[in-house]
Amino acid sequence: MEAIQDQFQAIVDGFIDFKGQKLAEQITTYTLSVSAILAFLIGFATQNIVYTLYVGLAGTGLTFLAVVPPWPVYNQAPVKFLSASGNKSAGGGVIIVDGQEVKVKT
Amino acid sequence: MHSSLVRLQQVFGFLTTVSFALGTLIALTSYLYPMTPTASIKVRDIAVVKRRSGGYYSTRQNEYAKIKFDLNADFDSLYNWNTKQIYVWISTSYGGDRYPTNEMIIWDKIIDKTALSKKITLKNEPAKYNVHDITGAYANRNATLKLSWNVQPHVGVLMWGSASDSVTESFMWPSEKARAAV
Repeated sequence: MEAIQDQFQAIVDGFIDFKGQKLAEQITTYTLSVSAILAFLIGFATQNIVYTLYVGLAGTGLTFLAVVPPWPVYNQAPVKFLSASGNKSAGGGVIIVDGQEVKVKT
Repeated sequence: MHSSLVRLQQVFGFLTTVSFALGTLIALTSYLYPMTPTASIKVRDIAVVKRRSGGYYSTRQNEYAKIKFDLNADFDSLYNWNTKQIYVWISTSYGGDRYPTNEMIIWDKIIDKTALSKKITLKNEPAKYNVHDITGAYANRNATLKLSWNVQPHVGVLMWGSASDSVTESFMWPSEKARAAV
Protein backbone atom coordinates (compact mmCIF):
# COMPACT_ATOMS: atom_id res chain seq x y z
CA MET A 1 0.00 0.00 0.00
CA GLU A 2 2.77 2.40 0.95
CA ALA A 3 4.64 1.60 -2.23
CA ILE A 4 1.61 2.55 -4.29
CA GLN A 5 1.28 5.76 -2.30
CA ASP A 6 4.92 6.62 -2.91
CA GLN A 7 4.57 5.94 -6.61
CA PHE A 8 1.49 8.15 -6.78
CA GLN A 9 3.28 10.89 -4.84
CA ALA A 10 6.23 10.71 -7.27
CA ILE A 11 3.90 11.20 -10.24
CA VAL A 12 2.22 14.18 -8.61
CA ASP A 13 5.52 15.74 -7.52
CA GLY A 14 7.30 15.18 -10.82
CA PHE A 15 10.73 16.14 -9.49
CA ILE A 16 13.52 16.75 -12.02
CA ASP A 17 17.22 17.42 -11.54
CA PHE A 18 19.03 20.76 -11.69
CA LYS A 19 20.12 20.51 -15.32
CA GLY A 20 16.58 19.46 -16.22
CA GLN A 21 15.24 22.57 -14.48
CA LYS A 22 17.49 24.83 -16.54
CA LEU A 23 16.43 23.05 -19.72
CA ALA A 24 12.73 23.27 -18.80
CA GLU A 25 13.02 27.01 -18.19
CA GLN A 26 14.78 27.57 -21.52
CA ILE A 27 12.16 25.53 -23.38
CA THR A 28 9.38 27.56 -21.72
CA THR A 29 10.95 30.87 -22.73
CA TYR A 30 11.74 29.91 -26.32
CA THR A 31 8.61 27.98 -27.30
CA LEU A 32 6.20 30.56 -25.84
CA SER A 33 8.06 33.51 -27.39
CA VAL A 34 8.47 31.86 -30.78
CA SER A 35 4.85 30.69 -30.90
CA ALA A 36 3.68 34.25 -30.09
CA ILE A 37 5.83 35.72 -32.87
CA LEU A 38 4.66 33.03 -35.31
CA ALA A 39 1.04 33.61 -34.28
CA PHE A 40 1.36 37.33 -34.96
CA LEU A 41 3.08 36.87 -38.32
CA ILE A 42 0.64 34.23 -39.56
CA GLY A 43 -2.39 36.25 -38.45
CA PHE A 44 -1.03 39.45 -39.93
CA ALA A 45 -0.05 37.84 -43.22
CA THR A 46 -3.46 36.22 -43.68
CA GLN A 47 -5.27 39.25 -42.18
CA ASN A 48 -7.22 36.84 -39.98
CA ILE A 49 -6.90 37.24 -36.21
CA VAL A 50 -8.47 33.82 -35.62
CA TYR A 51 -5.26 32.19 -36.92
CA THR A 52 -3.29 34.21 -34.38
CA LEU A 53 -5.50 32.77 -31.66
CA TYR A 54 -5.17 29.19 -32.86
CA VAL A 55 -1.40 29.30 -33.41
CA GLY A 56 -0.94 30.94 -30.01
CA LEU A 57 -3.12 28.34 -28.30
CA ALA A 58 -1.29 25.49 -30.07
CA GLY A 59 2.08 26.86 -28.94
CA THR A 60 0.81 27.24 -25.39
CA GLY A 61 -0.55 23.70 -25.30
CA LEU A 62 2.71 22.36 -26.69
CA THR A 63 4.70 24.24 -24.03
CA PHE A 64 2.57 22.89 -21.19
CA LEU A 65 2.88 19.36 -22.60
CA ALA A 66 6.65 19.63 -23.06
CA VAL A 67 7.53 21.23 -19.74
CA VAL A 68 5.08 20.21 -17.02
CA PRO A 69 5.40 16.37 -16.94
CA PRO A 70 8.77 15.08 -15.61
CA TRP A 71 9.98 13.68 -18.94
CA PRO A 72 13.11 11.45 -18.72
CA VAL A 73 15.13 14.10 -20.61
CA TYR A 74 14.90 16.29 -17.50
CA ASN A 75 16.38 13.57 -15.30
CA GLN A 76 19.67 12.83 -17.10
CA ALA A 77 21.92 14.19 -14.37
CA PRO A 78 20.53 13.21 -11.00
CA VAL A 79 22.40 14.54 -7.97
CA LYS A 80 24.62 11.85 -6.45
CA PHE A 81 24.47 11.87 -2.70
CA LEU A 82 27.38 10.68 -0.59
CA SER A 83 27.01 7.21 0.73
CA ALA A 84 26.63 6.72 4.43
CA SER A 85 29.59 4.29 4.36
CA GLY A 86 31.95 7.26 3.83
CA ASN A 87 31.99 7.66 7.60
CA LYS A 88 35.03 5.65 8.59
CA SER A 89 35.46 6.77 12.12
CA ALA A 90 33.07 8.09 14.62
CA GLY A 91 33.28 11.85 15.00
CA GLY A 92 35.43 12.59 11.94
CA GLY A 93 34.42 11.85 8.35
CA VAL A 94 36.13 11.59 5.01
CA ILE A 95 34.39 13.32 2.16
CA ILE A 96 35.49 12.90 -1.41
CA VAL A 97 35.17 15.96 -3.60
CA ASP A 98 36.28 15.69 -7.23
CA GLY A 99 38.17 12.51 -6.41
CA GLN A 100 40.15 14.06 -3.54
CA GLU A 101 39.70 13.37 0.09
CA VAL A 102 38.63 16.27 2.20
CA LYS A 103 39.06 16.21 5.94
CA VAL A 104 36.21 17.52 7.95
CA LYS A 105 36.74 19.01 11.33
CA THR A 106 34.12 18.28 13.89
CA MET B 1 11.08 24.43 -11.74
CA HIS B 2 11.78 21.36 -9.63
CA SER B 3 8.23 19.98 -9.39
CA SER B 4 5.29 19.71 -11.80
CA LEU B 5 3.22 22.28 -9.90
CA VAL B 6 6.00 24.86 -9.96
CA ARG B 7 6.55 24.29 -13.71
CA LEU B 8 2.81 24.71 -14.31
CA GLN B 9 2.86 28.06 -12.52
CA GLN B 10 6.04 29.16 -14.26
CA VAL B 11 4.70 28.42 -17.75
CA PHE B 12 1.38 30.11 -16.99
CA GLY B 13 3.14 33.14 -15.53
CA PHE B 14 5.29 33.64 -18.63
CA LEU B 15 2.24 33.00 -20.82
CA THR B 16 0.50 36.06 -19.33
CA THR B 17 3.55 38.20 -20.16
CA VAL B 18 3.73 36.89 -23.73
CA SER B 19 -0.04 37.31 -24.24
CA PHE B 20 0.12 40.91 -23.05
CA ALA B 21 2.98 41.70 -25.43
CA LEU B 22 1.18 39.99 -28.32
CA GLY B 23 -2.05 41.87 -27.54
CA THR B 24 -0.21 45.19 -27.44
CA LEU B 25 1.38 44.46 -30.81
CA ILE B 26 -1.98 43.58 -32.38
CA ALA B 27 -3.61 46.69 -30.91
CA LEU B 28 -0.85 48.87 -32.37
CA THR B 29 -1.35 47.49 -35.89
CA SER B 30 -4.82 49.09 -35.90
CA TYR B 31 -3.11 52.42 -36.49
CA LEU B 32 -1.51 51.16 -39.72
CA TYR B 33 -4.81 51.26 -41.57
CA PRO B 34 -6.19 54.68 -42.51
CA MET B 35 -9.88 54.91 -41.66
CA THR B 36 -11.59 57.01 -44.30
CA PRO B 37 -15.20 55.89 -44.73
CA THR B 38 -17.34 57.90 -47.11
CA ALA B 39 -21.00 58.70 -46.70
CA SER B 40 -23.58 60.97 -48.17
CA ILE B 41 -26.97 61.68 -46.63
CA LYS B 42 -29.93 63.29 -48.33
CA VAL B 43 -32.88 64.47 -46.28
CA ARG B 44 -36.10 63.35 -47.95
CA ASP B 45 -38.84 64.35 -45.57
CA ILE B 46 -39.15 66.14 -42.26
CA ALA B 47 -42.33 66.23 -40.23
CA VAL B 48 -43.03 67.36 -36.68
CA VAL B 49 -46.00 65.91 -34.84
CA LYS B 50 -47.28 66.49 -31.34
CA ARG B 51 -47.65 63.42 -29.16
CA ARG B 52 -48.21 62.65 -25.53
CA SER B 53 -44.84 61.61 -24.15
CA GLY B 54 -45.46 60.41 -20.60
CA GLY B 55 -47.56 57.39 -21.41
CA TYR B 56 -51.32 57.01 -21.14
CA TYR B 57 -51.48 58.69 -17.72
CA SER B 58 -49.81 61.93 -18.80
CA THR B 59 -51.30 64.81 -20.71
CA ARG B 60 -47.94 66.48 -21.34
CA GLN B 61 -47.25 66.92 -25.05
CA ASN B 62 -43.96 66.98 -26.97
CA GLU B 63 -43.06 67.68 -30.54
CA TYR B 64 -41.59 64.62 -32.21
CA ALA B 65 -39.47 64.83 -35.35
CA LYS B 66 -40.08 62.22 -38.02
CA ILE B 67 -37.28 62.11 -40.57
CA LYS B 68 -36.84 60.20 -43.80
CA PHE B 69 -33.49 60.14 -45.52
CA ASP B 70 -31.29 58.53 -48.19
CA LEU B 71 -27.92 57.12 -47.22
CA ASN B 72 -25.05 56.04 -49.44
CA ALA B 73 -22.07 54.88 -47.42
CA ASP B 74 -18.93 52.79 -47.82
CA PHE B 75 -17.35 51.52 -44.58
CA ASP B 76 -14.77 49.21 -46.22
CA SER B 77 -11.80 51.18 -44.87
CA LEU B 78 -12.92 50.60 -41.26
CA TYR B 79 -12.36 46.85 -41.56
CA ASN B 80 -8.91 45.44 -40.94
CA TRP B 81 -7.81 42.18 -39.31
CA ASN B 82 -8.39 43.63 -35.86
CA THR B 83 -11.95 44.88 -36.46
CA LYS B 84 -14.71 42.91 -34.74
CA GLN B 85 -17.67 45.09 -35.60
CA ILE B 86 -18.52 48.71 -36.23
CA TYR B 87 -21.33 50.88 -34.98
CA VAL B 88 -22.55 53.66 -37.26
CA TRP B 89 -25.16 56.24 -36.50
CA ILE B 90 -26.82 59.30 -37.96
CA SER B 91 -27.39 62.16 -35.59
CA THR B 92 -29.12 65.48 -35.96
CA SER B 93 -27.64 68.56 -34.34
CA TYR B 94 -29.02 72.05 -33.94
CA GLY B 95 -28.67 75.11 -31.76
CA GLY B 96 -31.01 76.90 -29.42
CA ASP B 97 -31.28 79.79 -26.99
CA ARG B 98 -31.70 78.01 -23.69
CA TYR B 99 -29.80 74.84 -24.65
CA PRO B 100 -27.29 75.86 -27.32
CA THR B 101 -25.94 72.37 -28.20
CA ASN B 102 -28.34 69.59 -29.17
CA GLU B 103 -27.43 66.27 -30.75
CA MET B 104 -29.74 63.26 -31.07
CA ILE B 105 -29.30 59.89 -32.74
CA ILE B 106 -32.11 59.17 -35.22
CA TRP B 107 -30.76 56.00 -36.85
CA ASP B 108 -28.00 53.49 -36.13
CA LYS B 109 -26.67 50.12 -37.18
CA ILE B 110 -24.15 47.52 -36.03
CA ILE B 111 -22.23 45.95 -38.92
CA ASP B 112 -20.39 42.76 -38.03
CA LYS B 113 -17.14 41.89 -39.79
CA THR B 114 -18.89 38.84 -41.24
CA ALA B 115 -21.40 41.08 -43.04
CA LEU B 116 -21.35 40.35 -46.74
CA SER B 117 -21.22 43.98 -47.76
CA LYS B 118 -19.69 46.91 -45.94
CA LYS B 119 -21.56 49.34 -48.13
CA ILE B 120 -24.97 50.69 -47.19
CA THR B 121 -27.56 52.11 -49.55
CA LEU B 122 -30.83 53.29 -48.07
CA LYS B 123 -33.65 54.93 -50.00
CA ASN B 124 -36.30 56.99 -48.26
CA GLU B 125 -35.46 55.28 -44.95
CA PRO B 126 -37.54 56.35 -41.95
CA ALA B 127 -35.57 57.22 -38.83
CA LYS B 128 -35.37 54.45 -36.24
CA TYR B 129 -35.93 56.84 -33.38
CA ASN B 130 -38.52 59.60 -33.33
CA VAL B 131 -36.84 62.16 -31.14
CA HIS B 132 -38.11 65.18 -29.28
CA ASP B 133 -36.39 68.35 -28.16
CA ILE B 134 -35.56 68.94 -24.50
CA THR B 135 -37.86 71.98 -24.40
CA GLY B 136 -40.68 70.05 -26.06
CA ALA B 137 -40.78 72.27 -29.17
CA TYR B 138 -38.53 72.57 -32.22
CA ALA B 139 -39.61 76.17 -32.89
CA ASN B 140 -38.37 76.41 -36.49
CA ARG B 141 -34.70 75.99 -35.66
CA ASN B 142 -32.09 74.95 -38.24
CA ALA B 143 -30.56 71.47 -38.07
CA THR B 144 -28.17 69.17 -39.93
CA LEU B 145 -27.69 65.41 -40.16
CA LYS B 146 -24.29 63.75 -39.81
CA LEU B 147 -22.97 60.19 -39.92
CA SER B 148 -20.50 59.01 -37.26
CA TRP B 149 -18.78 55.70 -36.65
CA ASN B 150 -17.21 53.67 -33.88
CA VAL B 151 -14.84 50.76 -34.52
CA GLN B 152 -14.78 47.94 -31.97
CA PRO B 153 -11.55 45.94 -32.36
CA HIS B 154 -10.71 42.43 -31.19
CA VAL B 155 -7.78 43.79 -29.15
CA GLY B 156 -7.18 47.43 -28.33
CA VAL B 157 -9.02 50.68 -27.91
CA LEU B 158 -12.29 51.82 -29.46
CA MET B 159 -11.85 54.20 -32.36
CA TRP B 160 -14.26 57.02 -33.09
CA GLY B 161 -14.85 59.35 -35.97
CA SER B 162 -17.35 60.89 -38.30
CA ALA B 163 -17.60 61.08 -42.05
CA SER B 164 -17.05 64.77 -42.60
CA ASP B 165 -18.50 64.63 -46.13
CA SER B 166 -21.77 63.27 -44.72
CA VAL B 167 -22.95 66.53 -43.09
CA THR B 168 -26.14 67.56 -44.84
CA GLU B 169 -27.19 71.03 -45.79
CA SER B 170 -28.97 72.78 -43.00
CA PHE B 171 -32.75 72.33 -42.92
CA MET B 172 -35.42 73.92 -40.76
CA TRP B 173 -37.61 71.99 -38.35
CA PRO B 174 -41.08 72.65 -39.71
CA SER B 175 -44.03 73.71 -37.62
CA GLU B 176 -46.16 70.99 -36.21
CA LYS B 177 -47.93 68.98 -38.91
CA ALA B 178 -46.61 71.24 -41.68
CA ARG B 179 -44.63 68.97 -43.95
CA ALA B 180 -41.64 70.37 -45.72
CA ALA B 181 -39.87 68.64 -48.52
CA VAL B 182 -36.16 69.44 -48.49
